[in-house]
Amino acid sequence: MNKLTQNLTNHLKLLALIFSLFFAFESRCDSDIRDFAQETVDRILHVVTNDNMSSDKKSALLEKTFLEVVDIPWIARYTLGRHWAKLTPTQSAEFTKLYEQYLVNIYVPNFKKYNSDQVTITSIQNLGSADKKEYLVKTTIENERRTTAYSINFRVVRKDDKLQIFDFITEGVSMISTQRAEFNAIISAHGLDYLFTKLRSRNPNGEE
Amino acid sequence: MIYRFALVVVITLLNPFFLLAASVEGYYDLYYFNNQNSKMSEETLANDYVDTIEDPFQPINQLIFSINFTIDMLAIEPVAYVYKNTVPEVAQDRVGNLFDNLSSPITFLNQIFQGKFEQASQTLGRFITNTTLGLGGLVDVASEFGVEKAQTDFGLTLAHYGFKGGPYLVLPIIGPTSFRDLLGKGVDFFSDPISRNLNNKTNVYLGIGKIIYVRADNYDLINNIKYKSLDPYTFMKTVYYQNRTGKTNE
Repeated sequence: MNKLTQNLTNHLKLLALIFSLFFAFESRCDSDIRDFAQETVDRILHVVTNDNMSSDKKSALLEKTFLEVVDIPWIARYTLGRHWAKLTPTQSAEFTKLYEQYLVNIYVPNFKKYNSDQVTITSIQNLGSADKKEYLVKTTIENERRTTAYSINFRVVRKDDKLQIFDFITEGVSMISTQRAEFNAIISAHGLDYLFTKLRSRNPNGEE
Repeated sequence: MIYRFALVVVITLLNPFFLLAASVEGYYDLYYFNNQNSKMSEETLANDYVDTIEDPFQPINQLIFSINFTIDMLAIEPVAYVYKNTVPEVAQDRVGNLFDNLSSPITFLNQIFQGKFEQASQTLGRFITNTTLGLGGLVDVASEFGVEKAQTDFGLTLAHYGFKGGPYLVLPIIGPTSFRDLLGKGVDFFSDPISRNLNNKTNVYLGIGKIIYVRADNYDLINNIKYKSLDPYTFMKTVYYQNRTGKTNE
């Protein structure tokens, strides 16, 4: 009887150990996503709230942060879908560069507007991928003028132990879904070359 | 009142577009991803893009979109710009609170229709508090007490009961909508106790005021779509459907 009790106790201890290791791992995963999200928010706010920094310097630092934390090469491929396979290596490199500049031109100026906002990370959830490497980070943004908060969420992926954002979702609108729809509409109506022409025209150094 | 209600019921039942809207597969799979598989797989990348938004009236929609674009550029955007840059922020906030409060009765009715009774009681509480203590809705006292605002409409009530959006439409001045939401707008208009008790002239002024307020409140966002998007028509359509789907799933 004593032996049976001892065995049972050992089994329970082992089970408890496995569970604690599992939850510790889960918790570590969540916490490093949270740290990444918080650090990204802090980096942006640190720049935009710095009154002693010139506008150009702010833009340069925000662009650097944006390029570091966003997985632009993947998003560029995603927005083109099957059309990506039609590009030569030179064209795909050019498209990625043009798209990167296009995103920077649209999004980086918007960051400067968050200078009086309070950003709170409200939840982090695994997106259900089998390898548990894709997450949805939900944030709420409160402005001192607004009594009601609004939400900006972003999807994060872990690639080779590096975390990167691969989508922004503002009030239910996904950036990558929208741009995939937009680019595919342009390609269907006018072809890939026209998309390149449009992107070049939006690049400050490009030509129509 | 009975006449108006009967009119809405008749329009609702006889409108062939409504039946169409109910039968057409909507945009619920607009998000290319689903939550079961890896979103970043090679398979996801290689798949063909499928536009799930019904747009059978695209030529006329695009024409109206272009006209709206021009009207906005010539009239609404400049007025919104002046409003945004000259009216003190506090006053702009008060105007926003007023429009939010005016939409409370519609939100309340639709929350009841959707069976969201707790939210409906909050909306009613907000309306009473803001109308009395908040000087007719100019001050959002209820939010200061922690009662958050919510907004819904009859289009979302129909979505709640499984009606799909149906074909995409662009209306003059009003902009993007769907058959379901167009019907919803009609029902909301006729059942709104506030607009029914105001004369036509006041309703028109309020409508114009709201257009200017909404344009100014979303000034940069709309300008980004107008001037930075590569295909503003598709961008606006996709954003509209995603936003409505998000609200449906709330």
